[in-house]
Amino acid sequence: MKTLLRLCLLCLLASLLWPSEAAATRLVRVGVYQNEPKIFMDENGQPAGLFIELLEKIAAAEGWTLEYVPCEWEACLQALESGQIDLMPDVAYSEERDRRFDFHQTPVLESWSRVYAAPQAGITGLRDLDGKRVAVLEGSIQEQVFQQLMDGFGYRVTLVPAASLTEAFELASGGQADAAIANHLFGDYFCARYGLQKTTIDFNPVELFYATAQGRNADLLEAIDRRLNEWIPVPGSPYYTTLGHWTDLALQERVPAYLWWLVGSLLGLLVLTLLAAILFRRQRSGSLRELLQARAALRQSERRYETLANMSPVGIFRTDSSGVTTYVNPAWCAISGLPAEKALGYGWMDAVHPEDRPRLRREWEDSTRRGVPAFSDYRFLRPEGTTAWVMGQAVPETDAAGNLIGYIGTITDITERKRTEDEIRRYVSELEALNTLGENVNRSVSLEEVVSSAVSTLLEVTGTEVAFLFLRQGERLILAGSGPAEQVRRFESIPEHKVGECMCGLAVREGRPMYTPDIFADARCTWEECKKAGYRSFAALPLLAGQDVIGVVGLACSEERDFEQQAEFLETLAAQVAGGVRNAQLYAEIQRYAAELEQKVAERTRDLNLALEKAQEADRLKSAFLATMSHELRTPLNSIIGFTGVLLQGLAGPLNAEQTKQLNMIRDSAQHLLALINDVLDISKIEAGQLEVRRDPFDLRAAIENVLRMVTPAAQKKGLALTAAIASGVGTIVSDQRRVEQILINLLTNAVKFTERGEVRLECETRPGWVTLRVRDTGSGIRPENMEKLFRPFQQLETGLARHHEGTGLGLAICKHLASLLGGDITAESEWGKGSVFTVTLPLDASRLEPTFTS
Amino acid sequence: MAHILIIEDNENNLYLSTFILEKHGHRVTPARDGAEGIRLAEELRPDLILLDIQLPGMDGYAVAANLRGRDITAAIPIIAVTSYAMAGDRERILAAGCQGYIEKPINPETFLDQVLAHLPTDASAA
Repeated sequence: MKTLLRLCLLCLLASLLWPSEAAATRLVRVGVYQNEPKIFMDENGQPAGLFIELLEKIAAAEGWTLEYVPCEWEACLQALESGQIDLMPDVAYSEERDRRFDFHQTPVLESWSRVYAAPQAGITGLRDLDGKRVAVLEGSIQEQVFQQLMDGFGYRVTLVPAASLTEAFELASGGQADAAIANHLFGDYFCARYGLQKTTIDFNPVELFYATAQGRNADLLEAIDRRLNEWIPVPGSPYYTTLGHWTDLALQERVPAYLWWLVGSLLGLLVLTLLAAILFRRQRSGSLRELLQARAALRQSERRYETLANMSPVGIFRTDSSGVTTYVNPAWCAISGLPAEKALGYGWMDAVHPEDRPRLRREWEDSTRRGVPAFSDYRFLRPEGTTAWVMGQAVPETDAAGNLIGYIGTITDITERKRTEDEIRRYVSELEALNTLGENVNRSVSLEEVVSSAVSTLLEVTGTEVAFLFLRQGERLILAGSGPAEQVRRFESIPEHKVGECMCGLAVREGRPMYTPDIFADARCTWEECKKAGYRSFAALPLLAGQDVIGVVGLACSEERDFEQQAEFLETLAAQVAGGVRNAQLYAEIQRYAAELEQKVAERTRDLNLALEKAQEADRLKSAFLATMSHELRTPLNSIIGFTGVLLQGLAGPLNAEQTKQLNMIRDSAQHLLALINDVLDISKIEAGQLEVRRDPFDLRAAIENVLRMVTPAAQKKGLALTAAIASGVGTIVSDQRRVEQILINLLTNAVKFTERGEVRLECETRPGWVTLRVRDTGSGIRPENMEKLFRPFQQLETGLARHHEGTGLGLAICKHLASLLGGDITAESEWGKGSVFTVTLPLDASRLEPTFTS
Repeated sequence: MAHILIIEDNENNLYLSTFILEKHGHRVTPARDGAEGIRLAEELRPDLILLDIQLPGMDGYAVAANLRGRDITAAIPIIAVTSYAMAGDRERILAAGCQGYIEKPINPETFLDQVLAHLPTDASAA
């Protein structure tokens, strides 16, 4: 005290000695009391603390001279009021004080009261204080407010009075109290020193100012406001460096919003209590009994609801109007994994999953601030590590007058639903992945493209870091594709594997997938490449085509990954890849076969073309030969026959009997030769499909008579009767007269030739559309075994030494073809030794038929 | 008495036809190919032309068409003489402008009648 007095005197002296200086500067007398760290006298007797340092910085900027006046709290205030000091730091604003003092506008600090306790006391929330001893500064505002708070929640506490905050902390530290209350600046600053720690119980927020006596020193307040307004928005300003010196926070911790709500609600509670007291007083004279009855009913109702809430499978909670939780039911605790006492206040937030906490807090504060219903889905992270998804909703609860008195809400465990949703989502994404892969690997049939799109799609849909695709060639596994390039670069090399080597080789040999979360710990992984490249988990998926393993896909991740969980998905992917690869391989094989086949076809075609050219050439030669034959063989015959005829006519002079006989022989032989040549030409044309027939009307009767005339000499020569029976209806038909005559001449000549006695008879009759010509003879007949050879070319029956008939053996074959060309047919019946019947059937009008060619 | 132009490259055939016709009192002018035949036909205006179809160089069809295209020879009857061989020959022969045809080998017994049948009435009557 002496030191202080001396200090004051010194100051006074100084002001007297340097009057000019005193006039230029503003002398400010400042009260100093003990409230570390905000304001206090340090061990050297120097004023110190947050408010002092800040004031000195303002004074330096404003050019004030500060004079410190140490005093006790109440004495200080009185000195301020009386004008003995000019400025009092660290004064909490209240209405009562506002009447006595003047405050500046911008608060220096926001401060609130906080409960501190030793860790072993197990005090974290308000409910933990029930029945406990709490050390509190005697006669302080926080003492009153704390008492009200506990009463409001219905908790009983024993207050242990302390003369100072230091003493309060000593009491809590020494075990005389379970907890201590202090402003958070003091408490946070000193709690560690006393072995205490913060709890979540905050209350009584206040704003701290510098104060002056009413109506005086307005300039000081104005200057303080100006400086604060200038410094507070600027990080790193003198304001914040000061804070940094005296608090453990670089930035000032602001009052939690809910504290203000708490104050509001407590005030509201006081008002309500007051109103209730008045009401009660009024009604007491009226009907005390009714009131008591109503209360009993109310309690009954409350018990009923309590029972319901306790039994409900749905989590139920209530909060006050500011959103601070005041009640949770057992189901809520079961779902969240948090005991009820820890859930109260904002304690329940601790159970919320850290990822959801900021969002939920934002949503909840937003809803409660506006007093509207709140809906949120979020997760609880239970102490044992499990997660519970809940659907939370809360609706405002109002009193009879419609005022918000709190929230009542429920939480429903939707973990199962979320799991199902997640599963469906996963299933859908897997299906999409499969579909994508299927599309990609089936888009092309080029093996190279299939492999490359399989690798890139696998990487995409499995979220793995690197993928390989080996294709099997016997016992070798040859790398066909890998990716992505930047990951593959991490490998020194990706060598060819043998079946049975390392994970990939084993998967091929066993024909089943191999998974490992850690290749370093898995004995099956025998090769070092993946380990050196920094991968850890690995999946080897064999590519199965039916019973065959055609290759293997390797997928790797650098973190431990449980591929087994996705086994079904991965194996389905592998099956898709295998299908695509197999198709491409088959396609390549088919292409190869097709190319070979094409080459063979080309070769064969070339050969055939050559053969065809040769054949055509041969055919051309044959035709040319036939034409030449026709002309060249016939021309001399024309002369022979012609001149013989002329001679026989006697045009060149008279002939004797012998000459006539010999000339006739010449002519017959020449005629015969000509007939042979014509037969050969005919059969050649028939075989070449070149024989054409005419379809002209002619008189069949006349033609038959003409033929009979021609054959008669030969029959007479053999003494055979040549008879004919032509039905009366036989007349004009449409056909080829020459060819019909040729057929009849042939048949009649044959009949004469093979008949030694008896007769040859020609019968002709018609039926609708058709004409039938029949040549009967009484000759040797034809053996049954020879019947089928009858119409074949170059077949002369009775060949060999016994042969005694002239002819090429072509006649009947030609006749049969001609009859067919004319739309008819020839058949033969015969009885060996008795004779034969050849029957020719022809259409009456061959022009109604399509032109026919023999083939 | 008729004047008949025979266009025929084969000497034997030519001789045979000429012999028969001359024996029956007709006058025959021979031509060994188509060109000569056309020239002589135009020059001599015969009563009838016997035309071999298988001629060297210009064949009988061409000769017939040519003769039909000339004012002087257009009206002279032409009889084709051909081997029986190809179907469609008759149509081609008639289409080329011939009045008829006689097949080889010629039959001396019917040849003269076949020729005379195509002669204009005045010539055959003579």
